[in-house]
Amino acid sequence: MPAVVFEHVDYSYIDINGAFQALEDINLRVDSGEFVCLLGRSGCGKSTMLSLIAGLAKPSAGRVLVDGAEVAGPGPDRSIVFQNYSLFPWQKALKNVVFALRQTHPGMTKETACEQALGLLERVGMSEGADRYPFQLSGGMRQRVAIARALAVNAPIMLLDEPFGALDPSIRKKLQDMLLELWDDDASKCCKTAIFVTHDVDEALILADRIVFMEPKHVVKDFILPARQPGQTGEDRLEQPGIKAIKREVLELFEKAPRGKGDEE
Amino acid sequence: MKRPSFILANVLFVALITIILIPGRMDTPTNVPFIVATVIIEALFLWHYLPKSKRKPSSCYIVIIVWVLLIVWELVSTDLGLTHPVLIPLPENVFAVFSNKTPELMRNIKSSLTLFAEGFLTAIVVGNLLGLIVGWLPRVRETVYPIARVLAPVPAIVFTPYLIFLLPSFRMAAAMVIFLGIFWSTMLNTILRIEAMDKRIVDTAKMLGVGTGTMIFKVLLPYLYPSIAKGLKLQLPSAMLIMVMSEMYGATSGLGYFIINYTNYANYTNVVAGIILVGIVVTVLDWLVTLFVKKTVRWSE
Repeated sequence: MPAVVFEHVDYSYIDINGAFQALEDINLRVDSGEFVCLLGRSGCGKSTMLSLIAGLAKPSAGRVLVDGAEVAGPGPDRSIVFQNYSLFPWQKALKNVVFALRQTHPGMTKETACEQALGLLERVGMSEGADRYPFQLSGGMRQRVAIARALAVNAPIMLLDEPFGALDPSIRKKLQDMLLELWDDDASKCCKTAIFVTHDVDEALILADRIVFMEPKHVVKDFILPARQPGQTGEDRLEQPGIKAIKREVLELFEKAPRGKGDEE
Repeated sequence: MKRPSFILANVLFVALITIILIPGRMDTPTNVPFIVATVIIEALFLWHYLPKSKRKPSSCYIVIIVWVLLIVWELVSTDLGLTHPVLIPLPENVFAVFSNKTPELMRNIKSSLTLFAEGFLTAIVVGNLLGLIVGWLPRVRETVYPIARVLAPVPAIVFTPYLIFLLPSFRMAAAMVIFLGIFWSTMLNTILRIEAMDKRIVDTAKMLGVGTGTMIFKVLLPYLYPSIAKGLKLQLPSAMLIMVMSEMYGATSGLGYFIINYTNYANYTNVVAGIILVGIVVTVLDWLVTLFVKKTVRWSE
């Protein structure tokens, strides 16, 4: 059963520079249980793909299906993590998670929600900062809370829009490992299907089962990666046989890829 | 080691007290209220300046300017008698109004503040509420926003004659004028704030599947509250201006009425005292709003 399907999807919009086509005749099928990375230069349309799945944007032509039904709009059957500043700044970390829990689980009492929220924060290593406002947290901590909030929704599909894009490399690594731990944990798996947007080749190789490489407007190539061994760290993964060859190929594509909108040098 | 400006400020203070105490060419019934006012200013200055933590050299400069103005006023009017005592009232007499007419002034302050609360607070509450609803619902916004853009710049004060005619009392008309003067700008600002806010906040809430009510009251309102609260500080002076003007038009009490009434009798001593009082009331209100904002806004971006 495919989790997400793009059928001949076009997307264009009008801004101050005039009409702009971001996606052209996209066809893609993501199966349930896959961890897919959409990889490409900035401005190639990969975040737009995510917005279409999220229902935050509507295709100009074609259809986007989630679980077999055309996307009608945003909703809690998909959870989302943005790059930055998407936590509600007026709510403390715990309250951010509680709000998501109570919104998506009508009838849940405050006490239950608090308990579960604390559990979720613990899973992302944030039990310490529960009582702090987002502005009192570092970038990495904020993204941990944002992931906890996405977990709270308990949606089958998780959409991640460059969630670690603004972080230092060392913190980035830690969060990648944490995300994989959540993904591998079968008992309390974070989601059935994950779609992760990034422009970082290593990040895509570390996280993904499958990499979808994009050039402006188009999907260029689809890579199925060798299975990850459970408990493997990001560094081990990059050394895994088969991964290096794919890395070389992806880097070549990167070199050749035309620049996207807003990525001119 | 004290700063020279601090020494100068205090020398001027002593000079001012001295020239108040020296009998001038003009006789005044009492100079006690003037001296008390001077001492209060000096005390406020020292209270602000002496604690090292919040010391600002600018407070010295401000107080120096105040002393120089008061010294010139006192010298020219009372001591040397160079000006006409009716047109330029003597400072002793102006400050004496505060002690002689305390009940009358208090009554007018109370009347003004009640009026202010009625007009200003309802405008803030209704303006923001409608602004949030209109700003969030695209179709309503596209209809209401152009209309509001046309109505908002019309100075509320021009409606006064009609409002006096239409509404049962002068008082209600005055409250309505303040309301109109604040309401439109409040609503427009809130609509614009919603338009300018970070899309990711709204998108996140949408992904959680929140309904319209939750979106408006649990997402937009708390998110915009700090800028709304800070906006109060900007709206306060214009609200005060409209209030005093509307009181001058049709009211039978209040600070604006106090000033216009004594202007009609050419009692400029009371007029100047009234003007100073308006300044004090505005300052206190401004300080209260600042305190309120500080207490209620706990987060920042």
